[in-house]
Amino acid sequence: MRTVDVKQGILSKNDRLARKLRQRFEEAGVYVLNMVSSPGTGKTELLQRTLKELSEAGYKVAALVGDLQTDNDAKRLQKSGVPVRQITTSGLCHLEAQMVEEHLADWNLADYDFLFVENVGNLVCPSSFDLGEQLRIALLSVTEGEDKPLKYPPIFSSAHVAVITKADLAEACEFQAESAYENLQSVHPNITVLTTSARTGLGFLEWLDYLTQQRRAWLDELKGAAV
Amino acid sequence: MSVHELSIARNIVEIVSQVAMEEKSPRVSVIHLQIGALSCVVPSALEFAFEVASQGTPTEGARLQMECMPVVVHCDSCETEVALESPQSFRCPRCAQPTPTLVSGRELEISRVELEEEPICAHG
Repeated sequence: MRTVDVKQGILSKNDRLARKLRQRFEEAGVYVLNMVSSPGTGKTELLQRTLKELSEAGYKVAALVGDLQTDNDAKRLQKSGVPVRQITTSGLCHLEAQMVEEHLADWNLADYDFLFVENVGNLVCPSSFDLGEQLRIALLSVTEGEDKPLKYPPIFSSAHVAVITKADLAEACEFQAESAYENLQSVHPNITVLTTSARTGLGFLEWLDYLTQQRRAWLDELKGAAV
Repeated sequence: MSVHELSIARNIVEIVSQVAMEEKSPRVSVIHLQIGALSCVVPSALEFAFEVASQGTPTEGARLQMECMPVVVHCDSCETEVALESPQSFRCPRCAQPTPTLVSGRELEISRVELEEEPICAHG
């Protein structure tokens, strides 16, 4: 019997590929966002309105949409008139960097300002898999209960921003915004929290502002690094 | 079982099988893993997934020895690294200040493996 040191990350293959993707995104100047949440939080609804409003504001946007079995979400999103591709994972509960790479295929990334990746609806599995994104967005809907962040700390602690969705239903669900905010801060101190309703457009000014500012700051940083 | 444990198990099998091949070992007996408290891995689910993924490889039958790693943060007030009691509360256990700076706790690492030797051929 012999002991051999390995000291290797179990997901090092995915991490390597994600780093390559991140570099590719940087070279193309496309800001990539990874949206994670449990099923039914309203990722597609939020994305649909976001794609529409960003493209109306003159931004070039595209989306990759992960789903276990169907291409319903991609069909819904294609209505917004922007390029959308479905990644069907055939039962796999999360997206991996390789799937993103495969589905980018012939897209010329330099043509886009934003690329949204809608992960598979799941609050556990996607957290360990880097997709090369610049921003990870965790969604929490008012219908889910304020304690979701405490139940799933890894995903909320790995996200850069938390977006509360379906805010138009907050009153009907007796959603305690303060408590949700406290729980988010508990698992991720100083996390930015935005509140939206894709149905009514509530909070969208701030949300779109946030996205465009983040992208601008990222581009400035890239320029700074290149000098 | 959430299926990401299967992805993780497949990655373990791939990496460790490669090590066994390079080391010319026919069989792996123990795989030592470091699993962070923020890694989302359920040990029993990983063991089950590993049993499935390792079949027909040099890692089949190997034992997974998992070391659970705490969430460690840097507390700016105490100017030191501290382990959190729970990932639900990112507050310094000493001074109760919020501690957003994560030092470790997301580990998913293979630290070392125990390999069996090739039987020496008596007629060689």
